[in-house]
Amino acid sequence: MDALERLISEFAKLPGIGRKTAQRLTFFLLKEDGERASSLAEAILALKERIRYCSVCFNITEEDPCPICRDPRRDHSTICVVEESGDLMVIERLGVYKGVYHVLGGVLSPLDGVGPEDLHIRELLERLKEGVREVILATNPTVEGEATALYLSRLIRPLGIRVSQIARGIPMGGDIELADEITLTRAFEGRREVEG
Amino acid sequence: MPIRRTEGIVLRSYPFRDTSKIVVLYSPKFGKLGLLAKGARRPKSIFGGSLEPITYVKVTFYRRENRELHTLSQAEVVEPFREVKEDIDLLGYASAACELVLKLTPPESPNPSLFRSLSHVLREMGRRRKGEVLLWWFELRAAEALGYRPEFGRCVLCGGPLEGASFGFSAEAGGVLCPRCASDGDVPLSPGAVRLLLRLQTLPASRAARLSISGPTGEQARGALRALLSYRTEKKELRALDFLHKVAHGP
Ligand SMILES: [Zn+2]
Ligand SMILES: [Zn+2]
Repeated sequence: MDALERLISEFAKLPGIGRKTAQRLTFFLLKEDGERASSLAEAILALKERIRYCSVCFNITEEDPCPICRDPRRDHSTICVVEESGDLMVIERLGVYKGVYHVLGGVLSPLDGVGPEDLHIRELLERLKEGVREVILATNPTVEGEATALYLSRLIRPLGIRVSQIARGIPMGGDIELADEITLTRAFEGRREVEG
Repeated sequence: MPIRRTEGIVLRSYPFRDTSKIVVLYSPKFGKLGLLAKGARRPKSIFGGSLEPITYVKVTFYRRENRELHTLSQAEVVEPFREVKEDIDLLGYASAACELVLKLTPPESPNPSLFRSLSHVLREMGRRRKGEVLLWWFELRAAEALGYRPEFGRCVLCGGPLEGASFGFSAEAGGVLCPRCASDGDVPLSPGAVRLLLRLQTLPASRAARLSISGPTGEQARGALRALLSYRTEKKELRALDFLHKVAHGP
């Protein structure tokens, strides 16, 4: 395969990029001077070399444990459980949450065959042995996100730990990553204990 | 682009581009339809929760001839099947029913009888709190609606009566085989297992939900249905069944 076709097909594998866009990006880089291409190539390599997952919370980080897990000013007895690092970043930007996080790395999903063993659930249960008082479930308000929250609350409540759930302000079908700040802040403040 | 209206059940939906969703809808009028819902992941989207999987909806869409994807313009929830979504096992079995339709039906080929059975099974799963037995009921109804109803009343090869202590099931032959016609490769079925399958095939869902599927009889019926499914899906296991195994196993 020639260099041109190779780059087009690599771009086309990225989410949200079709063949046409891949071609446009490739031709753009072709016309630009060499500096832009090498800076892009370096940025991609640096991403894979330096970024890793925090061994405690599975957030993406350049240092392990991540800055949040190492911060003594944060409340380590409260863990907010999110699906992906992107959700964590959105919540961090609000600045209202002072606890720590746990990134599941996805949600339970019957149609994708994603079960409990495929997420960082066992690691979460391990963390709960160390003086955790509250777990806040911040999965997305989708069928899969709700099922995951339900599954986790059934596992965690018997351990005598308070389990609450955010996302009251976010309607079903919505995406935490796309929520506006006011809605998400309210969702956090209005979290309620999970019953049942 | 003509505007079309239909009801249907959302089989699955997945994120598309930055804020949109692609929805696969099963409708009595159009069969399996791909719909693009622009902006559906925004929390203030007009679609709300209507595009979540396992939801009975009424939709309006722009039909684009000879395209795989049509544009959704409106959707409203008719029945959310909430009970099914609030129980992880029921969610798994209901998803398996949707996955069957996803895997076994060609795009845009209407089959009102299959649609009715799907809406029925989702409703009954929630109402009776029974997952596996109703999935079996649905597998048999789906086979019938799709034109390959397995024979459990007499030997599918020779047409003879089922006499004896053990029979065989062959998905390829399309049903149960008498002791003379059965061979080693077939799934073994006791007379009790044949009776169970026959009742699943003929009873309405509400009564099928009460059948017991425990013990060796249920195990054999499970084996026959697994063989039927595997034959029809070209050995592709249902992901939702894999999910249920994993849930039973724990984290
Ligand atoms: Zn961390
Ligand atoms: Zn025979």
